[in-house]
Amino acid sequence: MNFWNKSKSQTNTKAKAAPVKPEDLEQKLASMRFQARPDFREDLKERLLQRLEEPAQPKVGVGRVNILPGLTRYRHLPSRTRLALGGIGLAALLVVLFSVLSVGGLYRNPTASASVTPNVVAGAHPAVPPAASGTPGATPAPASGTNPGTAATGTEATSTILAALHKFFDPAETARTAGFTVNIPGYLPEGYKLTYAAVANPPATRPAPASAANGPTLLTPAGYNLRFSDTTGQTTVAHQIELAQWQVPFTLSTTGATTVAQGAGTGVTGPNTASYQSPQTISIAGQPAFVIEGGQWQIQLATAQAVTATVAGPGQAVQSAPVALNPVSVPISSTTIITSAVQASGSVSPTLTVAGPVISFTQVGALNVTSGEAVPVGAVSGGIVVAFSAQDPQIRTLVWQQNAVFTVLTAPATLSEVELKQIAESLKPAT
Amino acid sequence: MISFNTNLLSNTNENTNPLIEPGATLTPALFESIYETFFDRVYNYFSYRVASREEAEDLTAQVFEQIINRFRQYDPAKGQFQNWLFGIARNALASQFRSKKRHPQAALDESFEEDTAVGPAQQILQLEEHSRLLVYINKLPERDRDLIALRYGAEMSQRQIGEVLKMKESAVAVALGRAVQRLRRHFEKDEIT
Repeated sequence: MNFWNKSKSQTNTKAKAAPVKPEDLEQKLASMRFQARPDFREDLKERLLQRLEEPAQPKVGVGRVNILPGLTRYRHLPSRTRLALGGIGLAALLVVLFSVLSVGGLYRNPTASASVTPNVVAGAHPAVPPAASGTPGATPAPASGTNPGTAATGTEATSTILAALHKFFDPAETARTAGFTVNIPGYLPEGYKLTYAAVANPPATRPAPASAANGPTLLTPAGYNLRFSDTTGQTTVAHQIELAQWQVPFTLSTTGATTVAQGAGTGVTGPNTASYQSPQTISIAGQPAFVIEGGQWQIQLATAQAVTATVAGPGQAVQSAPVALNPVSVPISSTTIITSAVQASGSVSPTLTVAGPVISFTQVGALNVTSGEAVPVGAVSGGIVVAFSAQDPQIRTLVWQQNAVFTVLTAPATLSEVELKQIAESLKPAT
Repeated sequence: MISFNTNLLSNTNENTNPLIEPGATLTPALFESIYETFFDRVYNYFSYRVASREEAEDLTAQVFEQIINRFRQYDPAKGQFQNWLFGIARNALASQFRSKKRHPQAALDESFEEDTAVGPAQQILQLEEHSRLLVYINKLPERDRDLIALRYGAEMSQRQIGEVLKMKESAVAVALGRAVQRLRRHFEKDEIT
């Protein structure tokens, strides 16, 4: 027996196994990369982004089976099974779609529509004003949230706007800032999409609240602004809809706002005021609202919290004291004093956008009367002056307050009042 | 085609943390940025630790799901975002292990990243080598496997690993060196036999 050969053989075996250097092993580890399936990566990303844009959906559990329902189990199926399931699902969808269309065709009555205005289409001017809704022979008013004349339903429009809204701000966070839930329209004319949104935070340099002696305390309003642009037509100012909402610390009285002064830079009354218009009063969800034409105007609205002032004579100080919850109307003719007081106390202007409309809330209280002004003797009530200024004069604005939320909805004059009202009535919380 | 990426691991990902301000909102754009930045690293981390591609995918999905659910809990003052993220990943893995009462043994050889710079013959050799490496990694103690997965799967620096594991950087260096040594012994032992 030749043991030498065996020994030699063992030696050769060990010689083949050269020791691995640590740095070599680290290189091997570093080069070892795993790659997920591209379809899994993209599918997961799409589902998670979709879920992120729909925060109202219930949270999914962390268990493996519960994660992104449909993804895990479906993925484990053989490809042929997945194909067959997809085919069955598609066939079922087609059958349901065909059935719905058939039934709709059989029972559709083109003359009776409870919720759709036949002659109201995007950009059209209806012959019947909204005030005539419900009267015999009048066109029925469109229901809130519906979207006549457009391809998308109210629900679809809402989800699309909500998805786009998240690219600008978090509605939940904005609601905390503004003090109320963000509202988005369930109805928009065809072609309009959300193109801009901003939160109007209370300015850092907010003026000091008026003292008790100067009238009711004005809290700096906070709100937000949404802009919808007609992406199918020209992207000019004339084709934009703007919605601005603020929470205001007072309840407006509608009885006093009968006249709107043209020109945002002028006083409500006085020699600088060029002209007036009588705003049309309509109802939005049971609340009175004003339809104002033009891009430059001021409107004074009375508040339920009145301020009485006693004026001894021209050029003398006005003594004022707040009187809570005493709705009074404010005659426009008395705003000479009020305008002066506004200029003396300063104003709060939550600027929305650089290019968009600017609206300013101004506290109106009887303060000091400048020397030489004509001051009517008598009671002076509190209110706010809303000064509006937009680039395009060919616009129409709807102004109203519901609960504590003050809303200014602006649209190009090419849109009818019916559509403007319909947008306003379709506002609902963005949840 | 199955092949490997022979590019060495770029040493650290010290600068890949997205800038997240305190109280930031997780917008779709921010989430997309996070997803694109960390997806491969999270998936690789799990691929080092679990038995199958499906498990790695499920755990990866869990992590990004948790990011959406718990983003408000992240406090930039308490550490880098990726430390928070891989903390979630480790918790998800621990939960998975607890629920399954077993540890992975199989290799993920079918999902190695392709590398066209390597020829077919060398690709097969590397595939075999990497499969063996995974088997040896799975034989290591739990702590060693975690260290190796964080270092080479998640591509974290020793300092970052220390922040995740609440260890000093020097201690991480020592522990990682020992883990690689143990792995090397497994590797050599197998080559001898």
